[in-house]
Amino acid sequence: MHELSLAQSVVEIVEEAARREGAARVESVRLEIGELSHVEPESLAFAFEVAARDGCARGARLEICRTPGHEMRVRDIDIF
Amino acid sequence: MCTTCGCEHSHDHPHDHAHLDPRTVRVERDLLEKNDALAAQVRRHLAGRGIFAVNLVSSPGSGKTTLLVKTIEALRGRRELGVIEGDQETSRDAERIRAAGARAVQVNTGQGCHLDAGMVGHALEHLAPAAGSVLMIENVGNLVCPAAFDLGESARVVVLSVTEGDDKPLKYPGIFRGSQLMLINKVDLLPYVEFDAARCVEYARRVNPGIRTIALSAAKGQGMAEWLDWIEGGLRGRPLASADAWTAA
Repeated sequence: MHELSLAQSVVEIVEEAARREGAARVESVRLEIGELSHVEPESLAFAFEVAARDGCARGARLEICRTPGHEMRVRDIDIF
Repeated sequence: MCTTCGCEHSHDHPHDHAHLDPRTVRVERDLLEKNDALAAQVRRHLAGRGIFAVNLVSSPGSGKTTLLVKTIEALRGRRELGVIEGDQETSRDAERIRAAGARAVQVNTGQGCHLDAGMVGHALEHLAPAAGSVLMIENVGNLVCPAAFDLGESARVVVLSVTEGDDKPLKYPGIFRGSQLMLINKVDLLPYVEFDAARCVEYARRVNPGIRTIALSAAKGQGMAEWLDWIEGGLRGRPLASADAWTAA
């Protein structure tokens, strides 16, 4: 369940980017998660829902793109 | 085209209609960047003081705390050893370590299933280990979650006891891949269990060809000399991992 701490990192990164852009709401978040990283995408998606519920990323759609390596990265976000 | 919002119509502005399309912003930031930055800070701090720090990982019950107690007893009078104890709850392990005569800081992770570099950084402020000492960081007993988190350690050591399955390296490859040394503990129990130590080493090498292995019994003392020698080597900057032949205790 370390996915919860990773999800908290996702939310921190996303909220900071949204604030910088003056966004009111985050529509979707795209992550790159490597096949060799220590992440279970389904657990991460579930934990994200919980971690995001009090901020501007509440209800945002999480899209996880699997990549071949070790990376765990927020690639981009869609904002209003 | 409206140049403010890019919509495909023309009209007189002021532009106060709702924008229905979201815009995409590139972020490109690593999920572990905060942890990794703190880990780098910890690593610099420890390296500057010549401290050899070991991140000890295993499943619960592999004998990490007993190994630490025996290591403290063996190093008494020769090397200072400090311990950061990670558990979800209680300070029982830190108390065992203090009773053995070493300084210890207990970190309770609550619901957390692993230590992170921030916790280790805070614990170091309290522990303030001496220059040239050994720092043992006993991670939360878990073969999955600690694998992702760099603590700023000099080496990661995975402990596997013979009362577990010898195929654990294949089932939890992440933690074995990231470790420089595998300790096979409780080898005094080998006659009573199905554990095949040679097969376990072969599996570990399959996921991490450079991993070094020491078979030992912390409780009975077999193999402890080799473990202490590895620690001393770490303090002197000897290579920590290698594919050299392993020796059964």
